[in-house]
Amino acid sequence: MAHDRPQHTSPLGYLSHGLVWLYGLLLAVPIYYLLVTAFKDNTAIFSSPAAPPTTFRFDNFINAFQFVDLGHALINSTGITIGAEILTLLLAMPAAYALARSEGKLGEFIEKLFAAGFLIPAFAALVPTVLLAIAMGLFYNPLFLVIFFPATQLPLSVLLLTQFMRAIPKELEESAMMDGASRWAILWRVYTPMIIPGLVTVALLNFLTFWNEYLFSLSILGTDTATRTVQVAVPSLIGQQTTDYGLLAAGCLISLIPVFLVYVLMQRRMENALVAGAVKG
Amino acid sequence: MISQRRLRLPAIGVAAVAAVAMMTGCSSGGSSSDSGTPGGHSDADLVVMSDFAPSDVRGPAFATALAGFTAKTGIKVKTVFAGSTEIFQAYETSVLAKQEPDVLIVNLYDKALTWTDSGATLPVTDYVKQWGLDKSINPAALADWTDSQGRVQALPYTGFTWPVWYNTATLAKAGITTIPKTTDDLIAAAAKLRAVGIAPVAIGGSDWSGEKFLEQIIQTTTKPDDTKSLMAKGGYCADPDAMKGIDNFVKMRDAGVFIDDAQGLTADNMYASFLQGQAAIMPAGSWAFPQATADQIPNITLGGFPLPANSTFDKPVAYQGFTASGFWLTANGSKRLADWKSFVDYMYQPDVAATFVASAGDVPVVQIPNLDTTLASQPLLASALTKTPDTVDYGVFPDFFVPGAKTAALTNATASAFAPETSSSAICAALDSVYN
Repeated sequence: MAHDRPQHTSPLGYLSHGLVWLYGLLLAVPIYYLLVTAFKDNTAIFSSPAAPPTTFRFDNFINAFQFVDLGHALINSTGITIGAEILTLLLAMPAAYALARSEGKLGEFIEKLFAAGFLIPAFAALVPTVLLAIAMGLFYNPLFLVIFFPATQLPLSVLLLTQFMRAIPKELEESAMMDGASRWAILWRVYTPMIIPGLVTVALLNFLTFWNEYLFSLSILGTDTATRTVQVAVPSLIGQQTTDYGLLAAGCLISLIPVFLVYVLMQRRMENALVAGAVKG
Repeated sequence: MISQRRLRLPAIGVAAVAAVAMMTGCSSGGSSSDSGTPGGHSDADLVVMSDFAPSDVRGPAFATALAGFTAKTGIKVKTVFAGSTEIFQAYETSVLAKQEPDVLIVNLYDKALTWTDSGATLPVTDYVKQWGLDKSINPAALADWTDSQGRVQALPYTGFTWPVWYNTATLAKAGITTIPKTTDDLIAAAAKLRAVGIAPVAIGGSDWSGEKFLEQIIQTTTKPDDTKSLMAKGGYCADPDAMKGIDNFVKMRDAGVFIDDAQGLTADNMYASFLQGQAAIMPAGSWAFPQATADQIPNITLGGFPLPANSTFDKPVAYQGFTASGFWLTANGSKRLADWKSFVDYMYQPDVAATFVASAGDVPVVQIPNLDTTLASQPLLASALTKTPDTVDYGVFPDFFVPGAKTAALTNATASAFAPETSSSAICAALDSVYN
């Protein structure tokens, strides 16, 4: 019969706990600051930046929403993000499957080619991308970003998914093939269910990238309320010479709500994927 | 069984993409059109791009004006609002796509200074006379918008005055009863203010407000033509007069004249410090007048910045200009010139221009009858337009001469000047590096 031994926390353990709490606090500070700022006017923001608001009026949130038509911008961002997300995963999954099962030099070369995608800075691609949008007749058209964004995230998506798929035993694939399953069927019905945590991780990373993208959204969709994304709409709250920072903070918080919701929904599976990766070393 | 459902997942994905494409496509702006169509609207609409957004201080006046224009002319207006930081890039990319708005309303600053040369906008020189605008628009305003080749880059609409604000109540707390007129007066006042815990001069050293302020001080010892040349081409280190101005700046900085940590502050910090009584003095434009509350206004005296003993000016220096906003003629606008003219004619109507004066503290470029009545709601603007000109000299405004491509770099270079221990030679070298 095993006896539980009392757990003693070593001094190093206390230090670790302390550092973790300190790190958590450091992450919470900007969120706290953003939150309290959203309820203040400029005078209160500059006179006592860290103090909690004296009143909890939602004027800034209502005005921010109305002034820059955040409702429309949220719809535009949601459409672009979902569209680009689906397209990215549809392209990345077969590519990752092929690379995971490839043993030849060509597969190795293509995998390195995807890795090289990280070397291209987004800014360098801005001008040619704008010209491409114009040439395709898709300038001021959100469809262009739905097509373009996957190109920016495919390197990361393919490489991560390839690693998750490599962890799946080959025997499962061989068994399915003996049952007559095609490559497509194996990918969608055998591999996909087994890499859901990895898929969620990649989807979440893509979501954050697509949702927060600013430069290409501004350059290609412009600032019209009909087409602009939420990341382009919020800076419109900055005035020519003066800025209402309470209003701006409220707009930022509104733009963060979808990110927060998606993260809450996917958090568990993403953490599972990360822990699994850690255990596997 | 597997084979029957083989393509289900990809099919769902493709369908989803198609649905999203259709949804987003609804808001697409007819890319085949070449008549300024950044969004879903009729080609008959006059497309106006502006930073007079609803959240801007000019937003309400602009909305009223647009409604009045449509009611009077029957021409519907499609507005495209952009933040002041995005509007320059948003416009330039629209030009690239040949989908620019018909009318662009933005200030003459930074990238906008290059538009006439690059063909991004069309000069309006001929229309000024053809439409008789030279009789109604202040000649000084037209001069501000005229480039070195004699082209009127756009039609001026609003201007600004940029005095130095003195809070007499705050100065009185330190026993100061007269406004400083010289550098030595200011340094003496700074010591008294600091003794009672008040910052002397608030400034946003890290942004445009700090850049204009440094140029304001440097030119107190240079001749106007030399100042223009310095702003256009650099050469501060090689100009002994400019170095005197920089030395004067360093002398004041080291004497504690400027607010602590000025190199990290912005114009918004400056307004807040002054309006909360934490600082006694600030150089701020007329756009900030609406921020002063009724109980603060009686204590605010407008003037210029104190001069050193060897100054080329007779009176303290302030800025003024008419480049706060203007109507830019675009390629698409030129295709419907009659509508474009109708729009600017309507906006120049005194009663319409007066709404911008009353609500935003803008300086009008056209004559407004009963200006006294209009300015009743803007006592600081009234003071700036009627009393201040007698007490100040107006300096060379940097935005007219600093090349558009250098503006951002110059702002970065000037920030270091506010940092303690930055020497005069380091400051001039930083300024010159922008031009090299």
